[in-house]
Amino acid sequence: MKNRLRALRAERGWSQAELAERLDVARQSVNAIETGKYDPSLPLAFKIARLFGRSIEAIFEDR
Amino acid sequence: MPSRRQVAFIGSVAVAVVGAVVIWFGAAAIILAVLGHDVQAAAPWLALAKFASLAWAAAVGWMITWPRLDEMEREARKFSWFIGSTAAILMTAPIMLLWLVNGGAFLAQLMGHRGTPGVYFALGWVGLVFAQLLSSMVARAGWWAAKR
Repeated sequence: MKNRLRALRAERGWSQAELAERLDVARQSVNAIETGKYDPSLPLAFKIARLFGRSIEAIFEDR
Repeated sequence: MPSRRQVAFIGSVAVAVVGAVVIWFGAAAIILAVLGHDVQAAAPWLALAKFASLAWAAAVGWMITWPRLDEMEREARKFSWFIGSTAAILMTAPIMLLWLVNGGAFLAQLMGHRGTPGVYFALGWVGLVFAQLLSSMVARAGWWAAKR
């Protein structure tokens, strides 16, 4: 699954570690989501969407 | 000053350790008080107390650890335990069949006079658990390598 997480994180100037802390996950998880190697659960996807003030569809793309 | 989460973690570890010690020594004291110095009669009860102590520490340890893991680490552990232990069961099956060749003569020769049924049972159980843990670690390393 592709996503815009890296771009959104860069817009805010956050490091992977900072984003991980805000989402209460490990930095490795943020990296794996950004590179598309791990698809987050629905609760985590909602958390990410809320954090960036977007809908899930605006961040994640099913491809 | 430690955060509330840190205090909760330290408290949980203390509960695990102190609880295990209390169960083990408390049970041992009661068993020895009731059975006196009859070592043979006390042995199985002491073993049970030791098991209860370890089970307590393992259960509380698991309850402390699991909620602190993020979802990806949980996924890694579920995957590695399922794949790893299944692989271990399948891979150790031929070893069991080899043990049984000639009615287990090789194993009997290897164990000599120590080869009681209880020892064979314990050996089988420990061997399988060890294989499962090892295989699970390999599966977990593979999972992380693929996701990194």
